[in-house]
Amino acid sequence: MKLKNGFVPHKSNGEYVIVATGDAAEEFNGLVRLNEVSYFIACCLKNDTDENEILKAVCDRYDVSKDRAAADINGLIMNLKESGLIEG
Amino acid sequence: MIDETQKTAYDMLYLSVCAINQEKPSKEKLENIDLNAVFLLCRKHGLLSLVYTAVRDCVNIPIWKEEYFKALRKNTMLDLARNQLTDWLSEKGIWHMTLKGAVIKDLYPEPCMRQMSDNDILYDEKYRYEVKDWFVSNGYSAELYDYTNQDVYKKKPVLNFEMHRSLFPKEQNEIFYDYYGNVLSRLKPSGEGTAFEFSDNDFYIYIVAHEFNHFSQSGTGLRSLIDRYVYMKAKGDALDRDYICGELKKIEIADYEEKTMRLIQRVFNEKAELTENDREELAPYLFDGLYGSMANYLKSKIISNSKDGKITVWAKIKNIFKILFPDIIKMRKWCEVNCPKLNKPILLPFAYLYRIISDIFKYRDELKKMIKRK
Repeated sequence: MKLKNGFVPHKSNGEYVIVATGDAAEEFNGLVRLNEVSYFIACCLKNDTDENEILKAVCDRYDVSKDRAAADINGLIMNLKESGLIEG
Repeated sequence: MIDETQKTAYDMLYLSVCAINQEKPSKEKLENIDLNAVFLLCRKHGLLSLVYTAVRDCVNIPIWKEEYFKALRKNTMLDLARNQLTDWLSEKGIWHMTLKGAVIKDLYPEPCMRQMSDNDILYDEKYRYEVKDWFVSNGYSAELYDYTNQDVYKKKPVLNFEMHRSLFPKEQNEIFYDYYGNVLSRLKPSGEGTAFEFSDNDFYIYIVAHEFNHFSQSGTGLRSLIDRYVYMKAKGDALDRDYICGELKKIEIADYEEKTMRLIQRVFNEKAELTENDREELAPYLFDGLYGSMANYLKSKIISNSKDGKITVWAKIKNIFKILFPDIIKMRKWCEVNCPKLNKPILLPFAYLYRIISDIFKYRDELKKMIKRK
């Protein structure tokens, strides 16, 4: 799974977001606000990946328990899927 | 005694001062502020996002919150589009520099306090055809091309680029044009590809010159003063006042800068009680919107088009003709703001007619004074 074409994570001046660009912007005119960790996860989703790979990357980077990280990653991915930002 | 319009403007100023200093507005003052009126005025001044940060914890205005997030989305999309362009410019070895809002916005205390309406980029004009091709092949339309010192490219839903081939056109200000003639000699590599930048001092000089340019023509809004305050606060002691003053004297705006800097310090830093003199100096920035007003534009044109200080009948006729029928670039810019539906080459004749009926009727008093003036 990965972010659909045109959905781009971006950080600027302390704000982390995902916006739709190009053709995607004509259908999705919203904005997804993230925190630092969910931005990191969104960046993992720029390339084709799965939840296990993301879990490993998050646990390597942040001081967090595997169970807690797995639950948060799953929650974020479900939200992004429901909003139509993820394919695969 | 101030009227409702003036009160709204001063309320907007008060909330802007709170926002930029990240202070909560006082409860007593908020109770006496018409936030709907302030909202509409902030929209005119491009200050919706900034003032939202001052009021969001105190009041619940869903439309304002929505506008704030729209601005955040637009800023982000402009950032991404600019990065895409500058990556390509560097890949092709084309020197370029990001200007104005795109630089200043990151100095504001919070993300998205500073709304952006477009990306301004200065670049090597030798490559204007290649640049145009890049924009067109990436889905942009050339809205204004080959008329003045900047070309405008747009792409729905929000992307807007002003690609500058020079900083100031000769016909606007000859002194600035000469000063920035060989602009590359005043820049230094930014360290990213073929991107260049001003030194902190020279960037300050540029934003003052840009502000003065607007001020002396159609006027400029409160946001210009806020930008300058933010920049001065961010750069602090890094700015060399002696160097800056010396350079500003060369382009004859040292007095303007000193006067406005004193005003900025009083209003935004000291948060002083406004004197009659402060109100008078603030008036052009508070009451004319983000890009100034038609009335100011008329006034400045009357003065600049008069020969040897004498206003002859022929000069008046010339002035009236120029005012009624501005060149196509100015007309397209006017349409963008006032009647976007007529902003197409084939509809321009109707736009001229619409403008004559609406704006000239609105400013008939200024025109009458111009005709009677000796």
